[in-house]
Amino acid sequence: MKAVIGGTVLTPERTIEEGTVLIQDGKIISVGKGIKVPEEAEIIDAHGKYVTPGFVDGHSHLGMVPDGFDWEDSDVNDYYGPVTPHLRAIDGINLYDSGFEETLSGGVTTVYTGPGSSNSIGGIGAIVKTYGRTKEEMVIDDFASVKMALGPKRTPEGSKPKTPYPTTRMGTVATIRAALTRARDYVDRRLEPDKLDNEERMMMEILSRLIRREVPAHIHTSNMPDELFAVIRIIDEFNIRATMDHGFGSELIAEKLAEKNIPVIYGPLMMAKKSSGAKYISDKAPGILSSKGVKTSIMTDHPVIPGKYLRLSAAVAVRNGMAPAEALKAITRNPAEAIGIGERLGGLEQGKDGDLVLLSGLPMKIKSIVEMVIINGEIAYHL
Amino acid sequence: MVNYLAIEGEEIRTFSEKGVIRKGRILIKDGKIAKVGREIDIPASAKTVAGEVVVPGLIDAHTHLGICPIESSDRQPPGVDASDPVSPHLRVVDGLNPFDEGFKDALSGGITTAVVSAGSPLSWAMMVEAVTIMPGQNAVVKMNGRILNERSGVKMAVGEHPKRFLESLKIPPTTRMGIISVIRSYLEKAKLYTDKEIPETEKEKPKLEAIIPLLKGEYPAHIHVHTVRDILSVLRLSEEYMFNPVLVHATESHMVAEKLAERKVSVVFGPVIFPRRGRELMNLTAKTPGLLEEKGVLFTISTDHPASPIQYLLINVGLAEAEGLRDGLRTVTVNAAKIAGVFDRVGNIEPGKDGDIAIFDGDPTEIDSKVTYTIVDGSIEYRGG
Repeated sequence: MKAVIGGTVLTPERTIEEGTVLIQDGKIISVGKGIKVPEEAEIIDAHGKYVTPGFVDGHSHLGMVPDGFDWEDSDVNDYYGPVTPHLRAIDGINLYDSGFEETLSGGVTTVYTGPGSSNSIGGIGAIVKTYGRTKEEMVIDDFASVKMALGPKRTPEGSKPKTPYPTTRMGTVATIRAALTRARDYVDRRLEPDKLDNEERMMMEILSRLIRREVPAHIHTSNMPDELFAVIRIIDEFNIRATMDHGFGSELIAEKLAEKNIPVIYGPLMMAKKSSGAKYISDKAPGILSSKGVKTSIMTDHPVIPGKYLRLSAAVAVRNGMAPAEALKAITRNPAEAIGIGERLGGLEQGKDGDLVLLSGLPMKIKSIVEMVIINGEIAYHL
Repeated sequence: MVNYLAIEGEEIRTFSEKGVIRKGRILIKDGKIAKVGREIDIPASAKTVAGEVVVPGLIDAHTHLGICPIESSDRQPPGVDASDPVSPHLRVVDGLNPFDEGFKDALSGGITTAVVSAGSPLSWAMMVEAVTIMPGQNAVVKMNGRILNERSGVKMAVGEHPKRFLESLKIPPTTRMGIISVIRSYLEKAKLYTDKEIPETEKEKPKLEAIIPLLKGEYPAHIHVHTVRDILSVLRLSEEYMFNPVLVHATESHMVAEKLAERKVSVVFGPVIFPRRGRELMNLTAKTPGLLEEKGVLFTISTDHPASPIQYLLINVGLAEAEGLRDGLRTVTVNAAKIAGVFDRVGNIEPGKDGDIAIFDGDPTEIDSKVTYTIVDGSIEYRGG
């Protein structure tokens, strides 16, 4: 048992001065002020420090583009074809990538990591902690989502995909719609499993989970605001759970997203505005989204912005108008809920995983330092 | 009519012999700093602005501002001419767009001066940085469009990126050895040309004439370099031909900090916030500036705009401060001005210098402090909320 005592605890919704967090067997058993600390508890003194939930990066490619390696070791984009739900991130993640340790040192305890945006339906993402006694223990969900990506697709010169890629946005949406329509038929048994070849049956089994709302889709939108409407149409049409990832331009339709209850995982911030759709990139977006009631998370898209800088990214959103309390939620509660693990992670409450961060000062200050990170009740990082 | 601007600051960090002045004033007359102190007379006609923390206008010593427009296509890297890997005679000033919106972004971050370099930053969708061996000459520009120096140095690049970019264009050389040997051969040729050992009619005359000021010590070479092995090659070459190298990016410079201090080689480090793409960037850390400071290297921190947006220069500095750097502001004022070769004009607050000032509502290198005024040549170019 561990007792983190004396710190200013940000749950993140509540602020508890001189609060105590008790962790037993990897889980939080109580949080509050004046809690009796059992004698056997190992005391971690947090007087003068801030205690927050472990940070959650809702969209990352940690382990899939290992640090210090280049494209030959990058495993995010597979030009096998535009529809590849059966590619699994877990088969490509390098848990020995030093990026995990570095990301951990930034207070990030959990990341969603998954396939890239080359394919219309790209594959299965995973949720991974940045620390575990064994590497296997780090993976907490190897079937966390189905990745989709809008925008016209292109294949690298000379590559010969099994199925041709759509070349317009209409084509991409049609490709997704066709696959989901088939999956719905499969769920409804209008499409007989034994009439399909193995690969297609495998795809349909995976997409069925989306149709049955068992997992969310992470939908990459990064070019133009009109893409976002296409995403909303797909979500409505198939009644799937989904997050809008990147979401450049999403603040322009914030009311609509709030009304439809579609979470946005925005970012990365501090982007080089160097692509054709870049005029819609704005570090003001997270503040606008959250003020209009959208469940807003902030991502690093590691390695685009190193995962360690998730908290910095939230602070950049604060600099650009986001309320500090909302920014903290955007890297704890909101992403945990958006990626579907809100019951286990994202806040300091009884029953949640014992994942927390001790900071030398307010979390949205650049000069506050992460002094300790606890994961599953164990000290995973210490300055 | 004389034009006055008076600035009142709770705290003025002059980076001159006057140090930090509490409740001080600055008088700018016709764009130049006239007086600095606690008790100075302000003419009745002067416009006055006031603020908390007053510092010299910030300087970013390595950018692609205005030469590499944002929203450009990833497939056509601008800012670099791929027709000839050795083109020191190209001048970035000839391709500069003074209406690029990056200038406004810069002003909103308190930046008043930037070195613009040929070449193009590494963007996420690109496989390699589009940079050749000698892509052209740098310029030093102010954010009001005024040009401080049209030809402030020759940009060079060594290591993995020029190597791979040239490989993608199927233009040799394609090894580190090859790249260094090409640079050496041009330095040698320029030397012979200076000594009139090769004729005035030499067909590569424009190139050689661009290299001569380097050999005469009239301007430095700004060299894109990441790893220690490439830094060492640059040092060898610079000793052989007696030119002044400025190491740009210099990811592994902390690993040879003592040597750099001893040889008085300066460094433009950054950006700090950058993906660790490829082995050259494996040792990228925000601790480097603190280590360079400790060993006494003359260095600055840069954004490589648009690699990291220029308005976030001080975020890059603040991160380095969180990891050990003590005097971050000095690096992007005095140090940057010295490295850019314009310390006679800008870089600190003292009489005679240009009236370039940034005013903050709090600690300039903390992320939630805001720029309240950016002043260039004595005129208010940005007013923050």
